[in-house]
This record gives sequence, C-alpha cells and structure tokens, in this order.
Amino acid sequence: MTGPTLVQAARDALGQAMAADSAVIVLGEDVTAGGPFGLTKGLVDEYGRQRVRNTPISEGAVMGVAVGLALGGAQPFVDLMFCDFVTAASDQLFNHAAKIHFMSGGCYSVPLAVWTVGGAGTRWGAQHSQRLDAWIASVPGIKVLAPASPALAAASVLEAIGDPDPVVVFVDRALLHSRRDLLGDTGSPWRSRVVRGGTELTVAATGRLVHLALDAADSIGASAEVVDVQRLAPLDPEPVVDSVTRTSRLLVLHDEAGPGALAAMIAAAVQEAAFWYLDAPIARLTSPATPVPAAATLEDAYVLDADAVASAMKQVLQA
Amino acid sequence: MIERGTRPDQDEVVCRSMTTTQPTELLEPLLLARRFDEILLANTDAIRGHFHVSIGLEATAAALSRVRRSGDLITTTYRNHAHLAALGSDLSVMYAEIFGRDLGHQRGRGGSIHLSDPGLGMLHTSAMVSGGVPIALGQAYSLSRTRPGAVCFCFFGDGAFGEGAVHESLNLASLWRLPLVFVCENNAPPGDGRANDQQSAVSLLAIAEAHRVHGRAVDARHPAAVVDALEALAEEVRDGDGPRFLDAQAGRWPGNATFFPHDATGRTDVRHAQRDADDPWRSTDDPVLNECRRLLAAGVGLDHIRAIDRRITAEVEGALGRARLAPVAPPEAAFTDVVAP
Repeated sequence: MTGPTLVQAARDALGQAMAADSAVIVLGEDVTAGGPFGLTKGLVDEYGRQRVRNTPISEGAVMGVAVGLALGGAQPFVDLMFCDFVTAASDQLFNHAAKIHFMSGGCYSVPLAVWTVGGAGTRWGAQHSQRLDAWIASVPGIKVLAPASPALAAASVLEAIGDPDPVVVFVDRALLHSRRDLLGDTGSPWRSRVVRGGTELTVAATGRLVHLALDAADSIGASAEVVDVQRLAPLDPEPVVDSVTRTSRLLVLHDEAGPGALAAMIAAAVQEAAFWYLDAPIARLTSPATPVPAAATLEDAYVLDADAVASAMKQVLQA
Repeated sequence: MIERGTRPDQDEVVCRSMTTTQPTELLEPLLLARRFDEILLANTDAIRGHFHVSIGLEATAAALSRVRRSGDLITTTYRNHAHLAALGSDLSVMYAEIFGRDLGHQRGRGGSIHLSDPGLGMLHTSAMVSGGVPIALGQAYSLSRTRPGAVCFCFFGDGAFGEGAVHESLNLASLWRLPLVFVCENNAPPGDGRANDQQSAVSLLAIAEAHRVHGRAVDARHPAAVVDALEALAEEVRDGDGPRFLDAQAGRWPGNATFFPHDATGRTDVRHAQRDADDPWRSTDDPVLNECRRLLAAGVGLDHIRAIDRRITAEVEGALGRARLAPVAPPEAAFTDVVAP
C-alpha cells in the first residue's frame, strides 16, 4: 500500500483532465486552496483562477453556473464538498441538469461532473455525515459512481468529466486517505466488480463497506464473494445476480439510512432474476433510520462496523 | 436556418433580419408576440396542461429583438412566448410545442412553459421560478471565455426575488464581472412603501445595486423607452463593465388574474390608439397601443399600422394552422434521450 491515497489519485486524475482539455473548469468553495480534503491542491498554480474558481457559499447558484457552463460548451467540475449540501444545489441538479437532455428533445447535453463526499464516522454531526446517494440516484438523467479504491476514484473522475451527462462521483469520507487497492482495480468504474471470490455467500457492498466486507470475511473465515456495487445510477446489479447464482446466499450492505433504497433495489433485482437459486432470504444491513449523531458514543452506535458486518454474514450463512 | 432538434454552433445563433431603419421596427415584434398569444387564447382546446401568456410584457421582448446580436445567449421563463415570437422564432414550431406535437423544438416534452429555440441562443427554458438565472451566469461565463463582446440576457419576473438563487446570482455575477444583463419583467404594482406586495425592499434596482450591479428602472409600458434602456445597459456590458440590471416595470394585464390566463381584454384593436378609453389597460398600460400612439404622433398613418397588423396576424394564423395539422409526439419518444447516446 504505497500508492497514492484515494483523494490524491482523484486529484491527479483531475489535473490530467484539465491538462488534456482547456474546457474543464473547477468550481467550488476554497478550491484554490485545495478544498477541505486536498482534491484540488495545486491546480490553481497550473491552470489559473479562471479555471480553478473559488465560489461564494452559494451551492444553488454555483450548480446553476455549472449547468450554464455545460450548455455553453465547457466541462464544469463542481466540488460539492459534502453531499449534505446537495440539498441546497438540488433545484439545479435535479430539475435542470438531470432533465435538459430529455426536455431539449435530445438536442443539448449537460456534461457536468460533481464530486461529493459523504458518510458518517468522523463526529461531524447530522448535517455533514449523511449518505444521500440513494436520493441522487433516484432522479432519472443523473449517473452516480461510488468508487472504493484510489484507482477507481481516479477512473471515476476521468469518466465523469468525459461523460456527456451529469455524473456525481460519491466518495466515502472514511476512504479519502485510504491507499488500499482492490481486486479488479484496472476495470471500468461503470460496472460492479467482484473484489473477492467465494462460494458460500455473496456480499454486495459500496464504498467503505466493501473494505469492511473483505475484512469480515477474512476474520470469520467465510468463503464470501464480495461484489463492489460502484455504479449506483443507473444501478448495476447484474454482477450481484451472477454471483448469487453461484453462492445462493446474499447479504446487501449500504451506508444509507434505513430502510435503504439502494439496498432494497439490489435485493429486488436478485429476487427477480435469481429467486430459484436462493437458499436463504436475502439480508440487508443499512444504517439506522435516524439522523447521524455527533458524540463519539452515539455515532459509534450508529455506524456499521466490521463486527456488525461479520455478524450479519454469519446469520445469512446459518439461515 | 437551423434544423429543429439540432444543436447549433454558436456562430449559427443569428438575428432575424428586420428592417432597421423603419419607424415601425418595434411594432412588428410587438404584434408578433401579441397576436401569437391572443390567437392561442382562442385555441385553448388544443392545449393540455398549464400555460402562460406574455400579454402586457411584450415591450422587453420587442426591445430584446432590437438589442441582441448574433452570438448572444438568452434565458427566459415559463412566461416566454413573447421572447421567442418577438425574436422571430418559427411560430408554427412554437404552437406545435405548446400543443404537444413532435414538430416542437422540445418534441413535445416541454410544452408552453419550457419553450426554447437554440437558433435564437435560448438553449433551455426553466419553469422553476429563478431557475434560469444561475444558468444564465454559467452561459455568460462561457461567453466571456469564448466570445468577447457577447452577452447573456437573463429574463425573470419580480416574483423571482423571493428565491435565494436571484440574490446569490447577483452577488456572484458581480464578483466575477460576468457579461450579463439581468432583465426583471416586473408586473407587480408597487406596494405600500415596498417594491411590490411580495418585496420588503422599496426598489428592486436597489437590491441589485447593493451587490454593485448597476442598472436602470424603466416604464415598460412604453417599448421605445425599454429599447433605449436595454441598449445602453447591454453596451456597458459588452464593454466589459460587468453585469447590469434592468427593472422593467410593466402594467398588469387583467387576464393573468386567474390560475389559467383568460381573454380578459379581447383582441387588441390598434384603432384604440386613437380613441379615449376608460380602462387602464387600453388607456395607459398596453405596450402595443402605446407604441401605436408613439408612431401616430411621429406621423405614421393608422392605415399603415393596420396593414402591418393584418400581415402579421395572417402570418400567425397560418402558423397556427400548420401546428394544428402537425403529428402528435409519438408515445415511444417518452422513453428516449434520458441520457446521451
């Protein structure tokens, strides 16, 4: 594990995209200083303040500026800092970016890339720790990628910038400084991927939970096949279905608040396509249906950890 | 001529050529817009869903037709008919979109409140109040990078000041000195010590000025005055002075008082420009009649005005007929173009 961290890999990819195409413009709060996590570190020195643009704290207007830039032929990249702030930007993202291609009769695309960070575990409280990826993923016209490794984060940034449609790259805050590589890191971010082979159980997971699933499988010695569901919109459950036809058991993990729309969609896809292969009911493990608390004792009780994942895997194996 | 449903290159965004030296150059776009909506109101049987008309707000649209240049971009609102009609958009394509026909620029997916025309530099029309404003900023930003001297005209109503996006956008456009003209089509009467009954501010222009977006207020019941104001502001923006703001204070057309617009004042009769009327609409507020009065005072004959009106009315009627005969949007088109191919 000597390679770049996830955020360093993403930063390098963003720099690569800016070097390749002068239409790429980065917008966000404090992006000239590198942003809160270093995603844009040093880019202003290479590309100037016209292309690395600090914005006021106006997420709604800034997302609209990005839509207008995209319509005007530029390739905007918005650092939305925390996914919780998508609420302030949602009119432009959901009502405009997502719909303009369709509403224009296919005439105009909105090549807009949005990077945002979410997830609990760092004591930031209810308004800076949510996972709103299911909400974003529910709007037709937006694509959502949730990479779990540095290599796939870099690939996701490049794909989001190269794509003709709005793409949100959703990253777990817990993974920003992870250097951990995964099996299949040279593959496409647009497909779910098997990151651990196994025969007794399939675990479908996204983001940091992919890593927890790998650790839990090792710790209990289970022959679990772990599938990284990294394309959340349009959801790509087929590799999960394929895996279940071999293992006959499924546990779905997601960090969204319960009951969990994305986890439910994966479970539904598997029961529709592989019901007769199942030897046990499909199990889902999501965060509780509560806001994320800040205090360490409270948040630790909220956040899914490796023990919870291991316990859920055992239950599915014994069902 | 840009084919419907295709994305024009920016160089293809051109102005409809109109005679620029005729004293009636403003009357034509005014009448195109007015007759378009009046004839629409007589054909509401062909409309499904909601719609808005621009009656009473034609002065800003007509002024835009005189001030805009090739390569400029425009954002409008759910009350957009006059902007397209006055700029010379194909009226049959406009009616077709409103009537849900495949011939529309949006292939029937937008309807009245989302009319846009890429060939005129109107790339997308938001029906969210204030929705087009931040998008106009982004378009202006892109123009500043690729087309110096071009501007984006951003139209919105006074009601948009209730939305945070307008205030965010005034601040941001000023900070970045974007080539943008904010045009507020203000059809709310001033309230008791307020700009109108929705606004605590006394003046909408003062809100813009607080963000150092300078501008003017103009009586938009008089189209020629709007041309002068819009022209001056656009020139300042083209010179690189940053954004400007126009508070275009229009009269209030009585037909908008209901949830759906209704034909409250009947077909405009240009002869009323020569007669006394006892209602405020015909006597003071109607920008079409006011422009006719200006022309009459300048020595243009009523017969000449009526001849122009007859020609334009016939053009609009013809467009309506073509749209009514156009094929409906095919059901299978409901499922395509969600994302790019």
